[in-house]
Amino acid sequence: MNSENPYLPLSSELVDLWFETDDRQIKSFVVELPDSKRFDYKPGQFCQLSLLGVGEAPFGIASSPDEKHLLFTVNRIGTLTSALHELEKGTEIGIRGPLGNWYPVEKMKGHSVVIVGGGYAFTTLRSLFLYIASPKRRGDYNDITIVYGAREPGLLLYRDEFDRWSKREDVSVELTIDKAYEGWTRHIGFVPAVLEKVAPSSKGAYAVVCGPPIMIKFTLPVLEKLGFPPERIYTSLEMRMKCGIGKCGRCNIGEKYICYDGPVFSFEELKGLNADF
Amino acid sequence: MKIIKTDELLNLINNLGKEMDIWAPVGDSFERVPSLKTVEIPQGTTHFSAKEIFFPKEQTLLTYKREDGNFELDSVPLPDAKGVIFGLRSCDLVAIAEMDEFFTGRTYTDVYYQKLREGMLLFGVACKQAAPTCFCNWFDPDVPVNPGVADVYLYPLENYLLATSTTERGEKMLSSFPDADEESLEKLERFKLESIASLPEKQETDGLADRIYELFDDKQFWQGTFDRCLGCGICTFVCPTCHCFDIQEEIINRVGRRYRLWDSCQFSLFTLEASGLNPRPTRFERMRQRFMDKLSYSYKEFGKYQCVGCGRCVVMCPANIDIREVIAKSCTVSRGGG
Ligand SMILES: Cc1cc2nc3c(=O)[nH]c(=O)nc-3n(C[C@H](O)[C@H](O)[C@H](O)COP(=O)(O)OP(=O)(O)OC[C@H]3O[C@@H](n4cnc5c(N)ncnc54)[C@H](O)[C@@H]3O)c2cc1C
Ligand code: SF4
Ligand code: FES
Repeated sequence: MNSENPYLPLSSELVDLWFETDDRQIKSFVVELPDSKRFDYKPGQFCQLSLLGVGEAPFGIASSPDEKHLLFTVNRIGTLTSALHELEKGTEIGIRGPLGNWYPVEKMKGHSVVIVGGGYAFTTLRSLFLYIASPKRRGDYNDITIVYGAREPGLLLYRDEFDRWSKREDVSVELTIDKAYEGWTRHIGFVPAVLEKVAPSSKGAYAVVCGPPIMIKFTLPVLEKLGFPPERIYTSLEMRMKCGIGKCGRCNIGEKYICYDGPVFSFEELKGLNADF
Repeated sequence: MKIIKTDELLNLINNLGKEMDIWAPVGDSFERVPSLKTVEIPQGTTHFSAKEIFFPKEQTLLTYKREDGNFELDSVPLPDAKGVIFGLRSCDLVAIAEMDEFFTGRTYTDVYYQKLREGMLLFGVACKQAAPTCFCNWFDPDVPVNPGVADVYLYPLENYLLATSTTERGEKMLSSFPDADEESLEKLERFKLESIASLPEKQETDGLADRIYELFDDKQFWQGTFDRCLGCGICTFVCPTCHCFDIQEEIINRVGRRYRLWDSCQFSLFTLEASGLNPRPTRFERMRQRFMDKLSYSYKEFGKYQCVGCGRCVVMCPANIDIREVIAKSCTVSRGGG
């Protein structure tokens, strides 16, 4: 973050990019900052990426702080995201961040962690997983379980990495797709159903859930049934943003600004809020 | 407390005006004037507040040049202005204090706001007589005679003024004037009592934040208030504490800029996401958001109501929506009822 002027983006270089999904709607971007020391972040935080002449938008940081470069995974949906998809390697892009709060990785120490994701909302969950499952921190946490799904295999993010993670003995990786698909040997069915089947223990465990609203809606009762109390279920929220620093006033839910007080909240914190939707 | 004659005050300000802008209430807003000709200001407030002096309707955040498809970021044009603002009412001084905290506190300093705010000397003027739409006393009974964050605060007595300051730079400006004598101090006490007496009967604002919060889902409560809203947003533009903005980009003749401009929670695009999802899709949610923010969220988050009782939105709303009615009505319904 520019310490003198929080609206000024740092200039950074796009060092690599690739299509993440077969429908070519989602691309991952590797971003290199000129001075890595100015950028300390935790899993769950986000950045404002910008292109001069186009605009700015918020994206969760998909890389883990242990990685050398920053990773963002972007769904092509509007003006800026389309412009990002058109870029070539070597382009300079603006970046402001890290912004917002993060997943409670300190509180989770000594406990099990269940990561539940759907569709392209696995970005900051990748960061979280790599952070807690890294060899230097793995011992700080008990069981680590991922339940992640997409409509079809080609829409899962980070497939090569999931293949590698699936081979690890010290984490459980449960992948699912909505309907049977040729060559697919893992779970079939919606994320909430698979979560119920896998039934990770809730004893002292934390759950982190990110995905489309409909997935969240059906996942919460399953987590409740498994015994997770709302104060140990976390999610990351999205609202339209501009400033990302709690000034422009548009991203509130009740008295909380998602960019400033969030984006990470426990369901206990959300329970009492006056939400418009 | 100092005594200052009318022409001395005019001289003081017009002398400052040799090196800086003079802003004063003109018509419906604060305008730059070549010199100050009178210390008389109209009763109550101007329709538009002075916030646009620190938080302009439109402001450049950064500029760049476009050459052969590449962009070169120019040095950042931080605004630079020096001025004296004459004629601020106390309700506006309360609002400025809130804006200061909001823009320069809370982790990130908004340097654009800070730069303009620091360059301004504030001259407040106590209210002799409240306007019919004033209700500042609902939040704090002494508001109309409170110096707040004014550098110099003036009490207009008969043919002279009493002046006090709350800042070092204000104190310096007043240092050469004589101290108030007993007689004028007595007059000041009478002035204050009369001023406060000119305000309407106070509505109960203790517990207001919780009361309003609980009425969130009570559609019946908002009926008659929300169904009249046109969604024009004027309430937010005239409000001295509303601070919402949009950030946009434009390139003209190869010179580009990123700039911010006032935005309003009363507009449907304010919260519309790229996916098409809009958490506040109708005027009802947007009207409710404004009252929630002014009378509840702000208090829960900052311990202060982002309504100062200036009455501008009451005057300006084309649909006659009246925030005073919302407060009054909330006092009469029981918890969750209505
Ligand atoms: C904390 C957070 C993390 C996010 N992480 C990711 C991610 O990792 N990958 C990803 O693909 N998307 C992510 N999003 C959503 C992403 O920000 C929007 O898809 C993006 O803003 C759309 O911009 P656009 O210019 O293409 O769309 P347009 O419709 O042209 O939007 C114009 C502007 O409105 C704002 N805006 C519109 N929709 C959103 C939205 N949903 N959220 C916030 N601002 C919005 C932005 O300022 C944007 O530039 C995240 C959103 C938030 C709030
Ligand atoms: S609201 Fe109070 S301070 Fe503001 S103009 Fe009216 S009486 Fe004066
Ligand atoms: S994005 Fe501006 S306040 Fe949250």
